[in-house]
Amino acid sequence: MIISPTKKDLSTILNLLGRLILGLSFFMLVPLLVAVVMSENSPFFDFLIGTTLSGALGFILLILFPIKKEISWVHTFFTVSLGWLSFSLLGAIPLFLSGHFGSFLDAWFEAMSGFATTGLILVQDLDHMSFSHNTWRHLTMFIGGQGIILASLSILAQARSVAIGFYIGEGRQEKILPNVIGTARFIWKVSFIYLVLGVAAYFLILNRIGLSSVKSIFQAFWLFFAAFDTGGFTPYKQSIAYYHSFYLEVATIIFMILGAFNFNLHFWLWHKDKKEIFKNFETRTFIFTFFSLLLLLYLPFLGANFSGLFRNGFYQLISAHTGCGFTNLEQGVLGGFPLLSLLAVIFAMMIGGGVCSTTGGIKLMRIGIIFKTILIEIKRWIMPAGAVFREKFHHLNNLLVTNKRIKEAFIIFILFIITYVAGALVAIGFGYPGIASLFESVSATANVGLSMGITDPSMPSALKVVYILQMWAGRLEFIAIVVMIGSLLSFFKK
Amino acid sequence: MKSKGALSFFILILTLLFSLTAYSQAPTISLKALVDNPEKYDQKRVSLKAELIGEPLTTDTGIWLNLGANDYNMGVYLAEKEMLEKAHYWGSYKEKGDIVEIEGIFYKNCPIHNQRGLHLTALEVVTQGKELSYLVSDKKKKFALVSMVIFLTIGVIYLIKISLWQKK
Repeated sequence: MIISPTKKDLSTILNLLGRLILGLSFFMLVPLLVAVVMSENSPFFDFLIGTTLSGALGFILLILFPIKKEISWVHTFFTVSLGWLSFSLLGAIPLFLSGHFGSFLDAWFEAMSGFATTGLILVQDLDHMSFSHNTWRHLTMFIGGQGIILASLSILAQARSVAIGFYIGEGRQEKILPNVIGTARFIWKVSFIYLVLGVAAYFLILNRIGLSSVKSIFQAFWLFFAAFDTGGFTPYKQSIAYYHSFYLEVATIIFMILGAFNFNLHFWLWHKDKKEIFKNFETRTFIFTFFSLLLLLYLPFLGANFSGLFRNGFYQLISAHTGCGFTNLEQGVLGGFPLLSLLAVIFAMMIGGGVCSTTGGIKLMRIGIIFKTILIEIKRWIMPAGAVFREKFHHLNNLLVTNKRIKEAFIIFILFIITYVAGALVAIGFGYPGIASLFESVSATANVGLSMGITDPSMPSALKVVYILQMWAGRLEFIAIVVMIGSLLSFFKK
Repeated sequence: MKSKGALSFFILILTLLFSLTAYSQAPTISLKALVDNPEKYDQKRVSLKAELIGEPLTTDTGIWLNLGANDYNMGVYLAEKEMLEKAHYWGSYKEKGDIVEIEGIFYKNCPIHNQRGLHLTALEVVTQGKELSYLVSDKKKKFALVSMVIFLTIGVIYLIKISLWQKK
């Protein structure tokens, strides 16, 4: 039996949503401040409108919809699903007002891409965009990556009892510390330390290659948000290729990988056992999948020198596997990759990084468990009929491959595959080539951001909406959205 | 001796003629055409007009500039920074970059840098860039004012409601 939400439930959900929207309004003060500091008049008004409209909506929801019920899992799933939708719609307001988007739909696409840490772009004339709008574009990835809900959890004391609902609804399945508030604070602490290190490294590199100090500091922050939160936005149309710097490419690789690691692993490395990195199931799965796919990608490039292989293959594969979406290739190069290499990049995007990280995709843990399940079945055929055996894996502790884990892995796996294929079929229906359609669909659903050129302001509006939905569903790993739709249907059936 | 001098003169003239022919043969194309047809122009001398973007970059792989035109971009490698002496404006939020006409050899996959790009041989500023100023429309100002008033009013109502709840 489906638990159907009542009017009291809806009031509670909208109240929680109001609080989140007030938080968003607060975040918009950052680019507003940048506009003041950098004397950007027009963007100042864009963000003034954005922050006040969001703030007003947040207050209206708080006034009209008080919390009428004790907060439950259904409320949190609803809030998570609606949170991403409302954040992207409200976050699109200052972007649309910037004049860099052909329509509000394009601005909404960009904002969803930011909050979902995807990195696909529809912005026009990006190279002439203001500091404040660029700050906002990159900040959306930081907010989305670190988790809109996680941020709120640290503040909303009364949500403690059901905080896990927000956490799982957002596509993070593991707790690091006994309570979710502690987990949220640990993630913030680690992120802040990496922020300082990342910004310092990027600043030095950018300043050295010729960017002014002011540009270097801003772009260091932006690139850190994009790399660590595996978002993939950059302030230039050419992405990382703009900088022509091998050192920057290496520095971005480091933070892309750190962002794709399970935060549990970060916790273990920081506080417990440093050797865990070599024993960890997800790390081992990553090494296996990455190098297998690298081999697949390199096969058509045999004979190229090391530097050529690094630029043409290694960087794209890391970017795809971590779900970041940076590219060091000039416009049009990726589209000219041989089919085998493109398939390697597509598979890497499909898999993604660790659970409880900022990446999207099926995730390493589930792929590892699926491999293990296949292994179990093979063993079952080989071993005597009555033999009993247990398959284990090491993820912080030694764990059993249980039926529950297998079921969960397969459900998410199948949902992702269906979405990847469905999105590709829609693009094929609009007349795009098959491989490019699959590439773009996977990139949107797995929140990667690499593009073979379909994502463009001139693409059909319906396809833009499909990609927005794919980014949203992929970010939340479907569950929160499925729960919301199911509950809503039962509400209207009553 | 005389014949040697004549031969040198002949070679010089031939080189000049060849260079001139090569330059005159460089087709002027759009950046879009170059990006979309890399095979066609691979290792050929091309000429194109585009805006200078960002800033000149001195990286581990050499000196680079980036060009942009109609949302198409490309990196350009140059041997000496002196080639940029005439360039003053670089495209950004505050500046419209110089529109330059450049000539160079296009590499689909440069053997030195392992990147797609142009190796610059000549640069000429065709249209000088300028500082950009943006006017804020009255409509936008009024809308901002109205939204601020709405925000403050609703904010005050919320605070009053909160204080009433607390009294209860």
